[in-house]
Amino acid sequence: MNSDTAQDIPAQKLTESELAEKFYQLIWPERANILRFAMFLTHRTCDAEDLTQETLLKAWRALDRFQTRNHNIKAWLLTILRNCWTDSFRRTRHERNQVALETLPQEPPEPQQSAQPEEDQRCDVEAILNSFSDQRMIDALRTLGEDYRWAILLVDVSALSYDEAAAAMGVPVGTVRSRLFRGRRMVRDFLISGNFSTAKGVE
Amino acid sequence: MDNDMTQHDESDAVQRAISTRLARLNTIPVDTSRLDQLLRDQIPMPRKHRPFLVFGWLAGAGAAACAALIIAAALLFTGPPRLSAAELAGVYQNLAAQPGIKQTGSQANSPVQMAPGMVCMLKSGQIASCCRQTVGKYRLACVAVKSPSRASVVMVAGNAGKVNCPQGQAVTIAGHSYSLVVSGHINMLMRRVGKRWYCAMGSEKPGSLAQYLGQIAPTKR
Repeated sequence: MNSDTAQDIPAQKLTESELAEKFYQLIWPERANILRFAMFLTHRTCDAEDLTQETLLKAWRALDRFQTRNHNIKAWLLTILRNCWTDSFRRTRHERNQVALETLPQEPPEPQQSAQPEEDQRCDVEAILNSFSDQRMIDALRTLGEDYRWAILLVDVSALSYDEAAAAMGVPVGTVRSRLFRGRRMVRDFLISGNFSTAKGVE
Repeated sequence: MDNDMTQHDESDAVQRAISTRLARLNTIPVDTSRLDQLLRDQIPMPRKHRPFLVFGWLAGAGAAACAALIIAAALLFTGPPRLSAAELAGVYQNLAAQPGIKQTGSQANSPVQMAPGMVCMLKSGQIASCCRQTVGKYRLACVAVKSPSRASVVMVAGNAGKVNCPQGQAVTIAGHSYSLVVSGHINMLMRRVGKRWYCAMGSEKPGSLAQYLGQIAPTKR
């Protein structure tokens, strides 16, 4: 289910007022989720707002083709977001983001990092993971290759199904599962070691 | 073999735990205020709500009628502003204290005959002075009348569409309805005729004041 799929659906002619009503009914409640997702991608508030705005305006223009019964609005919006990111945003902002990442202050290693999750995982894995701050988890996501990061953001963070994530990324479901598995391992490795280089991965 | 199984189970447990921890990132609050403004600038708010879509123009007409009714009711029950008794008493003091300014019947008619078809039937010799006075932002036509008792009587006419006379006690004199206000030693007897109201003020009794008010009458009955 990507934006191209939406173009295959016969357009329902809606008036501007009906479109606006549909926008504020369906899309408006999801704007915070989309903005948050964009911030995980761009790491800059203004860039995330621009990316989200571009996404939601594209969704607004394609809204008459969106079928409420057959599709998850969040999955549809994230598909558009991915297209925006791939088409233009990443290309134009990539270098700036790299600079931003390098200049971001790094948190000192947390005491819990010295723990050995694998040794205590039967009872303590969740407790150890919960001891890491949100910022630490975001730092871990930043270290991932883009394909792994997208898989984790779509499935784990945004709670899309494997099928929806596969459609959004344009890959088979098996590939999503594989990327998820490897991506989570990289997150774990980063949290244990705190080392960016060990978490970087390519498929 | 058992070792492999244990490692596989442990790996699943870690994967699930990481997934659960990552899911909590979706609860991080974000500030959408700037985004909201950007979107609202480009995407108009829907003008119609569901009930209006269902009932169409009929609902719109109904809403317009309701609004008109509310406005009419507001005007009916609140009406134009009302002068206070103290403000009218001030007019009385001004005119009663001044010697004649205009002393002819026609000159008196000029301010008094505010409404078409109304005429002041006072004779020239009865008029001590007449003028227009402004109370607040409202203009009143005023005539000071010479009374046999030498006590001044002042008559005031006002446009009821713009300003009302003070609220008083309803009294009936010689079959006519009046409104009476007593302010200090001044009696104020008021009557509404058409879109105008007339007030006779003085220390005389209401019955005498009613006779003065009778000098202002419609030319055609």
